[in-house]
Amino acid sequence: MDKFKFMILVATVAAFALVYFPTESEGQSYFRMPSPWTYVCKNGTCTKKLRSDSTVIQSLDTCRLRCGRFRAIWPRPTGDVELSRVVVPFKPQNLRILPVTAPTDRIRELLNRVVTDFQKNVLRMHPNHEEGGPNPFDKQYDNVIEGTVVQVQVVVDDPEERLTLETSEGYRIDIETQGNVVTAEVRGDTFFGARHGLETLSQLIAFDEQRDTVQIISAGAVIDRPLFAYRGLMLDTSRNFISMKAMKKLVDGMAYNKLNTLHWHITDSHSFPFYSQRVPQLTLYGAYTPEKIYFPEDIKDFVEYSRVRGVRVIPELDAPSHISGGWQGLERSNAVQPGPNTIQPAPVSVTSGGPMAVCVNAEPWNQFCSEPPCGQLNPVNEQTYLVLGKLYRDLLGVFDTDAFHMGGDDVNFNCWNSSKEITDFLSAQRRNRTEREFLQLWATFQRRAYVELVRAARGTELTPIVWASNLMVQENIENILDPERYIIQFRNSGRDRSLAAMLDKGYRIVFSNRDAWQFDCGFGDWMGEGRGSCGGYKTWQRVYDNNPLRVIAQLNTTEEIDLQPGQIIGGEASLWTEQVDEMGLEAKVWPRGAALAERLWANPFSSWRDAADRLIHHRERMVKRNINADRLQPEWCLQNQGRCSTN
Amino acid sequence: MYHSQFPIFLLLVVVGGGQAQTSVWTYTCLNEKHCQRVAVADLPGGGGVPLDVCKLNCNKAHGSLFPLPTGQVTLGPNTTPFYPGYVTLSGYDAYPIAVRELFRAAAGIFTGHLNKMRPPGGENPIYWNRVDIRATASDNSTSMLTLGTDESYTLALTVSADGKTVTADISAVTFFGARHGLETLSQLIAYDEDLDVLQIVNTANIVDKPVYLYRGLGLDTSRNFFSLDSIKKVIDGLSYNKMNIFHWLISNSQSFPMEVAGRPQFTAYGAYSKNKIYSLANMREIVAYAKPRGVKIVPEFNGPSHAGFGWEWGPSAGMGNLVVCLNADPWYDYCLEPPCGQLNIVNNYVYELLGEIYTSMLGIFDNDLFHMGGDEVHMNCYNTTKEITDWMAENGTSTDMDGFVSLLGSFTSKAHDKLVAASSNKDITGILWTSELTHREYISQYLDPTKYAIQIWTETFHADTPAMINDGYRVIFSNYDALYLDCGLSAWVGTGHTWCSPYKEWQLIYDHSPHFIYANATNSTAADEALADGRLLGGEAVLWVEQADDQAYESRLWPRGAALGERLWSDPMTGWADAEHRMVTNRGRMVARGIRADQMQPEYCSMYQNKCYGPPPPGK
Repeated sequence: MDKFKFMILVATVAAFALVYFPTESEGQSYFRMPSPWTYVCKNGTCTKKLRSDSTVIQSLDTCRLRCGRFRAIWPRPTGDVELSRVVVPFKPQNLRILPVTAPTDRIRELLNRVVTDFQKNVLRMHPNHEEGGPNPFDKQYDNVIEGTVVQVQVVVDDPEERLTLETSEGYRIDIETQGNVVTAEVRGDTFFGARHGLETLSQLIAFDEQRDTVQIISAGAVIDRPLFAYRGLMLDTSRNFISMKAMKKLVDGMAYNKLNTLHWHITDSHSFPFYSQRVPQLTLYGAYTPEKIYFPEDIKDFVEYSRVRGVRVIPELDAPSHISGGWQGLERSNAVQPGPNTIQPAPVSVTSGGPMAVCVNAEPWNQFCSEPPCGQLNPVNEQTYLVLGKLYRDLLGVFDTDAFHMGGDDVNFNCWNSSKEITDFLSAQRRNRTEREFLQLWATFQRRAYVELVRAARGTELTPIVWASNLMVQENIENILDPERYIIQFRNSGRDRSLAAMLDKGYRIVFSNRDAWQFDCGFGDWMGEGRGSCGGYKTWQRVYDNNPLRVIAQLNTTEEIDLQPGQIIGGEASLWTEQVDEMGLEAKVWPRGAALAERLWANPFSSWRDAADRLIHHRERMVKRNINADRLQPEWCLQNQGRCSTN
Repeated sequence: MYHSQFPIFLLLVVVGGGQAQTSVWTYTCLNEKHCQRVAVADLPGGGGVPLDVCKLNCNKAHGSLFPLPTGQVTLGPNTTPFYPGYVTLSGYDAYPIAVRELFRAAAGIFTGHLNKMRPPGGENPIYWNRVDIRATASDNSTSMLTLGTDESYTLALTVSADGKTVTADISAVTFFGARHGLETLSQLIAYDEDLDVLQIVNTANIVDKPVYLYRGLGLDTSRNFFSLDSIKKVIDGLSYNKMNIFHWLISNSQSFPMEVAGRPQFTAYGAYSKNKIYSLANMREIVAYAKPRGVKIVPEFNGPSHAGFGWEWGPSAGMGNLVVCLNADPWYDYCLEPPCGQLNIVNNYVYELLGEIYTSMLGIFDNDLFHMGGDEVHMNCYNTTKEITDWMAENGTSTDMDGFVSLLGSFTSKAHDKLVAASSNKDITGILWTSELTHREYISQYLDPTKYAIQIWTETFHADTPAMINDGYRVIFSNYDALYLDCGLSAWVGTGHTWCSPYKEWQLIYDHSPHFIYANATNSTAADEALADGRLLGGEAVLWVEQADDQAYESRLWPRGAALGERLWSDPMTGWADAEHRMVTNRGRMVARGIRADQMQPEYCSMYQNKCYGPPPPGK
C-alpha cells in the first residue's frame, strides 16, 4: 500500500470509528460515583488525568494501543511500523480466521495450533477471564460491534518445519478496514516468522474497558525480523527438578517475547532426570525420585509444544564434568532388584580403565569440583565413550535439533590427578601430570565425544555448542576443535578478555556473560552465608542494556577485534537452579527474560529508559496470559507513566 | 523402626509405558542427626524409610520441628502408621461458644492438612490405628489475641500397649497456645510413600512457649494491590511458623484501597481500580480468617506522610486541601518516592476524617494495638506549602528541625486522641515507625511510652535503639538492613538496584536477634530485663510492594519469613547453620501445604543432609 492510499484509508476509518470513540459510561461500577480518571497520550507516554480536564475519555489499555512509536509491541519491531491511531472495537466471536495458506499439511497443522493460542490470548484480555471458565465476552453488544468482523489471513510459502540457526523468522502484517470488516494479513518468511507475526498481531489488540470488549488497530503495516538468530534461555533441571507443566509455561512466556531457543541443561552431578532407554541405570540411580523423570514421550511432546511456539529446544549433556548422579549406578547395575515389570538393563561390564565416573561424592568437595556433589567422567575408560554414544542416541531420538550442547565447563584437574586409573594411564604414556597434559586429555575427550555424537546422528555433523573455558583459549586448540564447527557459549564477565581470544580464533559466540545475563544471582548463598558466587541480582535494566556488540567494543584489548559477519549468533540468559524450583521460577525469569528478548530481537541503540513503559505494560499482558511475572513498579507508575523516574 | 516388618518390595512406582520399576533408594538416619540416601541393595536387612519419615525423628533433639521448641523436647524412636479418617479431636466441646468455635476451626485446619498429605481411600486394614487428640485450654474464655496472651502449650504423645492407639494430649492456657500445639503435632506426622499411610511419632513430650510477644510480618497493599486470597495465604504461612502478627500496611500515597464507612470518596479517588478495593466485609473476613490461625491483624493507617491519592477531593467537598504536595514534581524534592503527598496537618477536617477512618477500622480490627505510621515525613514539603508555613508563622513554630518535629508531635498527639476516641475511650497502643520524632533528643518530649510502641526500621546498630529501650519504650525490630524482604531487586526509579540492596538472605534474617542487638549496646542482664518486662516486644519482617504483587510475593516472604519466625519464637543461642536442615524441611512442608516458598538448595542437599557444607574459609 502506498503512502497516499494509506492516508485515505486512515481518514475513512477515522470517520467510521469516530462515532464509536469512547464516551463516558458508568458501567456496573462498584464506586458510588464514576471513575474520575482518563489516560491521555503525550510524547509517547500515557498520562493519567482527571476526566474533567480532558476531552479524551479512554482506558489505559486503549491509550497504550494508540500511543508511541511502537505502541504496545514487545519486542519492538526492527522494520517499518506504520499504524493508525484509530481503533475498532469488536467482539472475539467475530474474529474470523481465514483458512491458512500453507505449502504443506504439516505447516497448516502447525499454523492452526498457533491460531488457537492466538484466539485464546484475545479472550484472556478480559479482566474477568478465568482459565477454563466461560467466555466473558458472551453478551449482546450494540449493532455496530455485533456487525464488525475482524478477519485474519495467515500466509506461509516455505515448507521448513524445523527452526535452525539459518531459519528466517521475518514477517509482515498488513491491516486495513473497509466498512465493518477489518482484515489483517500476516505473511511469514517461514512458519516461525508467521507465528511471530501472529504474536505481534495479538499485541495490536487490547481490551476496551468502556465497551467491555476488545479493539484492534484499524489500519497499518509492520515489517519485522530479528537481529540475532539465537535468542535463548537456559534452564537447569538437575539441581532441582522442574515439571513439564512448568517448562511449558516457560515456553509460553518465551513465545510471548519471540525468544526462540530453550537450552535445556537436563543433567548434572546432582541428579539425572533424563530417562535413558539404552542406559536406564543412569536414570534409576540418578533421578531424585521416581516421579522426577523426563520420559521420552514427555520430551517429544514438549519439543512439539515448543515448536508450535517458535522455540527450538537444545539439549545439553554436560561432560566430562558435572556428572555423578546415575553414573555411579552403572557399576552396580546387577544390584537392581527387579519388580514385576522392570526393564532389566543389560549390565555394563567394567573392563579396563576403572570406573566411568571418578571423584563421585569426593570430599572435601572443594578440592575436586566446583560445588557438591563431585563427579567427573573418566576419559581413559573406553566404556565412557560407549555409554556417551548411547546417551546421545537416546537424546537425539527425542529432541529435534541441529545444534547440541556438549557442556565442557568446570573441569577439575585435581579430580583427574587424584584418580589412579587416570594417572596410571598418563604414566604409561610417559606423560607428565601437568596442566598442559590434563588440557590435552580434555581436548581429546571432547574430540572423541563429538565423534560419538556424529555417529549417534548417523553421520549428520550437528553443530556442537560448548561452554567457554580455558580449553578454548589454548594455543592450537582450533586444530582439535574446529572453529567452523564449534559455537562457544561465553559466560564469564563481559570484561573478561578471553572473549577476544576466542573471537580471534574464529569461534561463533553465544553471549551469556554472567554479570548481566545470569538470572539466579542475588539470592544469597546456598552453602554458607553471604551473597553467593555471582554477586548481586541482575536488574532488568542491566539485562536490557547488555548489548553484545558494545561489550566487545568495550573490551580493553591491545588489538582491534575483527568480528566476522554472524560471529555473534545471539545470547542467552541462564537460570541455574540451586535456589530455584517451580515455586520461584517464573518471578526469576520474567519480566527480565522480556528485557533480554528485546535486546536480542532488536538490539536497539537506546537504553532501558526508552523501553520501560512498554515493558511494564507488556508484563501486565504476560500476567493476563497466566505467566507469574514479577512486578517492577507500583501500579501507580503503570497508571502514571513517566512519573516514576529520577530525571 | 517399623520398617523391618514390611518388605521393601512394596516400593513400586509406575514409570513410562505403564511399567513398574523398583526404586533403588531409601533413607537411613546417620548418627541420630542426618538423613542420608542409601541404595536399597546396600541394606540387605532392610531398615530404610522414606525421607519424610526419616526426618520426623532422626534428629533426637528436635526432629523437624519448626520453630524450635523452647522447653523440653523428647521424641521417641518409633512411629505408628494411620489414616486421617481415624483421628479424633476433643477436649473443648464444653467451652463457651467463641472459644469452642476457634478450636473447631483449628481442628478443621489440622485435619485438612492430614487429608492433603494422604487423601482418603484405598486403605489397608492392618494400618487401622487410632490417633486421639485432646486439646484443652485452662482459660477457656479468652478469644482475643493480645500481646499479653499466653501462647504456651505442652504436647504429650503416648501409644497404647497394643500399638493400636496413639494419644496426643495438648494442654494450653489459651486457645492460642493450643493451636500452636496442634501445629507442632502436625509436624510430627509425615506421609509414608512406601506404605501409602501417614506415620506419627508415637511417643513424645514437648514443652513450649515463645520468647517474644510480637512475631510479625508486614505487607504493604498500597503500592500494589493484593487479593484477599493472597492475604489469606500470607496468614496461612504465618500460622505454620507460629507467627502471630500480620501487620497490614493498608494504604499509602500511591493508592487508597480501603473502604471507609460513610466516605466512598477515599476509594473512588484513591483505588487503582474498582476491583482493587478492600470492602468492610472483606476486612472482616480477613480478621475472622486470621483468628483461628493464631494471627492478629495490626492495621496501619499511615500519616501524616504516605498519604496522597484518595484525599484529593477536599476542595470539592468544601473541606479545603486535605493533602499537600500531592504528586509534586520533581518528586525527590518533596518525598522519598513518587507520588508525593502529606496530610495537611493544619486543616482540622483532616483530624475529623482521621477520626472517621479510625472508627471505621476499629469497627473491624482489634482495638488494643494500632499502627499509626509516622515515617518519612518530608520537611521540605511542609516548608514549601504556604498554608502550613502561614500557620507556623502564626503559631510561632520555627521552620527548622525543632519546629518540624513539634509539628509532627502535635499531629501525632491529636491523631492519638482521635484513636482513643474511636476505641470508645479505651487505652490503645499506637505503634509508630522510627522518624525524626523518635530521635533520642526528641522522643521523650513528645511520646508517652505507655501510649506508643516504636517499630524500628533504622539500621541494626543505630544509637537511638538502645536509648529508646532504656527510656522505657516498647520496640519492634524491623531494621531495613536485615528484615526488609523487598531489597536487592532492580531499581524502580532510575537504574541500579533498590535503595536497601542487597537481598537479605535467610541466614542474615535468622541471626537477627533483638535480645542480642540490645545486649550488644548494653549487657545481657539489661536485655533479659527488657525482654521480661515487654520492652523487647519482638520483630517483624516487612515486604514493601513497589515490586511485588499477587504474582510473586510468596517467594519473597517465604522461607525467609520462617527464619524470623524461629528467631522470635525460640531466639536460640545457635545461628542459622544449626537450623538449616529444619529450615529446608519446613520450606518443603509449606510448599506441600500450598505456599509457593522459594527453593533454598538443590534437592540433593536434603537427601544427603551432611553434604552441602560451605567451602572452608580461605587460609584453612
